[in-house]
Amino acid sequence: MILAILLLASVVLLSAGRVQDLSAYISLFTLCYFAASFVFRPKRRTIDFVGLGLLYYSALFIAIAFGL
Amino acid sequence: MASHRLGEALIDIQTIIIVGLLYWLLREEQDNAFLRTWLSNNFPLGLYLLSPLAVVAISGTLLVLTVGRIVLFVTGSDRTLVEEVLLRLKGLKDQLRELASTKGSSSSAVVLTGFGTALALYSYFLLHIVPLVALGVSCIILGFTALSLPRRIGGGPGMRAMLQGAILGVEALLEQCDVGRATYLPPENGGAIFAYVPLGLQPETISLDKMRQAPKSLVGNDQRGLLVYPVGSELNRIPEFQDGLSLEERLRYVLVESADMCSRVLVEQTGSLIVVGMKGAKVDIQGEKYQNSLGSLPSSLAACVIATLHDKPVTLMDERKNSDRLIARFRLLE
Repeated sequence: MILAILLLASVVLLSAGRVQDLSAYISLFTLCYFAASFVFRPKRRTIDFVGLGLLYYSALFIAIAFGL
Repeated sequence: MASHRLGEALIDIQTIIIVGLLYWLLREEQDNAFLRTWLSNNFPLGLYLLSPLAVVAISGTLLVLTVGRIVLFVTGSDRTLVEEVLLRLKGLKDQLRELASTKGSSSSAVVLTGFGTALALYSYFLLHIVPLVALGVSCIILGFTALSLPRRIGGGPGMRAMLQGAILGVEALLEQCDVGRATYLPPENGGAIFAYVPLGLQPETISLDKMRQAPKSLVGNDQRGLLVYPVGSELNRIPEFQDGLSLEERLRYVLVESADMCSRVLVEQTGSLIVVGMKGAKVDIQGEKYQNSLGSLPSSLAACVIATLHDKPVTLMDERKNSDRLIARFRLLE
């Protein structure tokens, strides 16, 4: 529930700021996801595939954005 | 074998060439107005596939796969990338299957993921509204997160304290005796799981029927064994176990999701020998006799699950604590 609120707030916040870059959204989602995971430390049935995927793609997008 | 490896190498080289071509097409699309116009008139999808983010995502994924394949090629492994990954990350296959299982409450998560995917694709390719794409992506994240969470959240220190308290009754019964390794007996006609505790340190062979007929209390000095109710004696009554879950899934349900005795479970079975690895296992219990005979709390629960699933008597051979991992070895008896 907290993660849903955080993600929705991220979308509202960035769209209100007229951000048109999808990588910015995904990076903020990644931040929210790991912040929520760090605070609540949920038990998982599997490896954290979602976290790994988000981390990989946001790192990739940030690297491209900074021209690495 | 040589032609197989040559084929693997050719695939890797082709992948690298595709990534190079993608990058070249991206540059061309950005610099060449005529190409952009042609794409928008004849192949609009190409404009989206050649957007920087799409190119980065596709190239990144392809490069990670290729690097993995090249590493295998250089190290001389005969396995394919998928086999190697499955081998290295033991249980990954089961974990993916577990993630994809859609029983019970997971169906709503699947609906959310599907809706998010449709919304993201529709918004990206047709509406061109980035915030809606992001909303779709967030639905996908939420859906997959819900899928990766346990079916039921329970456990914690309170549950562990209650389970440890349940041990003390058996401990009081065994306190005055020398006890050997117990044999966990599978439930009979939907009844409870019993454990036969031999009285005396010398191991002895005794038939299953005789074990079942052993008294449930101390009746005399020449008594050879005793039937006790282990902590997990009622585990066969869990409704989810009727759904045909595998041993690993059952152990995960009991030890990780319900009792919070450990954070991860791995199972290996070779013939009648079953090895259960428990990461982050909490083994500190007060009952010394219980531990000597029936094992630590997580091992005792695991033995009950194994006896129920295989419908055979089970004995705990040994258990080893290695940093935060507990490795317990069980043997199925005929």
